Amino acid sequence: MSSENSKKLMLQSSDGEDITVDRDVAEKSVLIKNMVGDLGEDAMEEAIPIPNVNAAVLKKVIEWCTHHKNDPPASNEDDSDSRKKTTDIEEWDQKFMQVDQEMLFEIILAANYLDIKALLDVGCKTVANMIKGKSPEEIRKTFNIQNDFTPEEEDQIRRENEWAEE
Amino acid sequence: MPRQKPQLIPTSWASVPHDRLSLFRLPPKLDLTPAAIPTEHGETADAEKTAGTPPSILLEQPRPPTASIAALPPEIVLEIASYLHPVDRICLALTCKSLLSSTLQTLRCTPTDWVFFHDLGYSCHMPMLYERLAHGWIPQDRFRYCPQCYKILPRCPEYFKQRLRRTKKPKYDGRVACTGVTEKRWNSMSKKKRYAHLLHYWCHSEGQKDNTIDSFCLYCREKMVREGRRDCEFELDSERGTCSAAAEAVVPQDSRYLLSALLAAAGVAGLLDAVLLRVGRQVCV
Repeated sequence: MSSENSKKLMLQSSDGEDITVDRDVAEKSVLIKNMVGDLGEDAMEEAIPIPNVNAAVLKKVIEWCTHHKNDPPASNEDDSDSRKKTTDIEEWDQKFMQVDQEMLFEIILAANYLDIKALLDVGCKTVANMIKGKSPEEIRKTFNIQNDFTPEEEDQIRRENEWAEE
Repeated sequence: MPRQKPQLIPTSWASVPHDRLSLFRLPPKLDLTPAAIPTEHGETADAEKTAGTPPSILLEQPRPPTASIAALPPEIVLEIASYLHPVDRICLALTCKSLLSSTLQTLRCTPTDWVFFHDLGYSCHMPMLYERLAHGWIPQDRFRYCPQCYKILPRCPEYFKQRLRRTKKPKYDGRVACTGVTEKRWNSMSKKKRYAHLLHYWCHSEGQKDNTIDSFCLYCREKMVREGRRDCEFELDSERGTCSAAAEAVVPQDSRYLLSALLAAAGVAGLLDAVLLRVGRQVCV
């Protein structure tokens, strides 16, 4: 407990569960890192409320951060183009993302809220890979999306885009 | 030069199209307000299962439950769409209104987008989009996809009857021979009979069936297997049958596109029906 890196932070999930986590793991989240930086050492005595994330999701996020805690810092925005060039996901992350859809989207929302760019990327790539190559109908089935276009509106779109001969 | 319908079907998109909106045009009057809260079983049940998340009914915005793709904040949908090929983006956009409005700006592809996906060796063939639309979006009772000409054609007898009148009588050659008819027999056939023969070949031959099925989307393939029939066989009563026959037969007449499509696809063995190639040459050249 002497070195700063091994210090613990307490995170409180939206459903009131306190979860203890190493500070360097928690600081994968830019939100938490900034919060700790702003509030200083004192803040570490109390649980940090994470009101948008429930315990189950928060634990998954911490699991990911723990596995990736030694990763080099995220590349800056200049590299965003090269980052987008592939939807390849490393094996551990693929397995990590093998969860039901609800959890997948919760993780994405949590990564967005906590500002964990790399995790957000993995989540978005996972969803993108589920969409690739599918027709609109297949995508609806995959994600249980309700089609709220009326047939007339679909006709309008079809005519506007000249997708079919008439 | 034959009549040109350039906007209809180039075989592939230019790597950097001049019109960046060529991918997708939004009808001017389309109302993109998402429909009211879905009342269907799955949606509400999912919402109630979500621990700590109030059911969607209690949310102020009429949106599906939090943890669903349609309810993701637009910036995340944009992030997801940025990984998708433009064709995938269109398919995603066409699933529901909220996703269309979220992805709308990604449908305005920048030259960078195009170059990027072009470089990646993505298949940029427009048929890729048409197939998916035909089998997962276009109402199948009113349209069908022709895997030979990569077009979505209406199932409308008048449409084909009108065009059939302009069509020449297909001559015999090696391609026709592939259909298993002898030259003698072919020459003795009337124009009507030739089309009937071609229809039979296009709709029932095993070789083509394989090609056709390969190009179908999973959804339709499953559906066809389930129902034990193929797209060509939908409503194959005499009236509709004639209509389908005409569909394939008249298509070559229509465009320069077909020839270029045939030439472009020449390297893709088995993708095209040999008979159509023959008919296409005859009519177009």
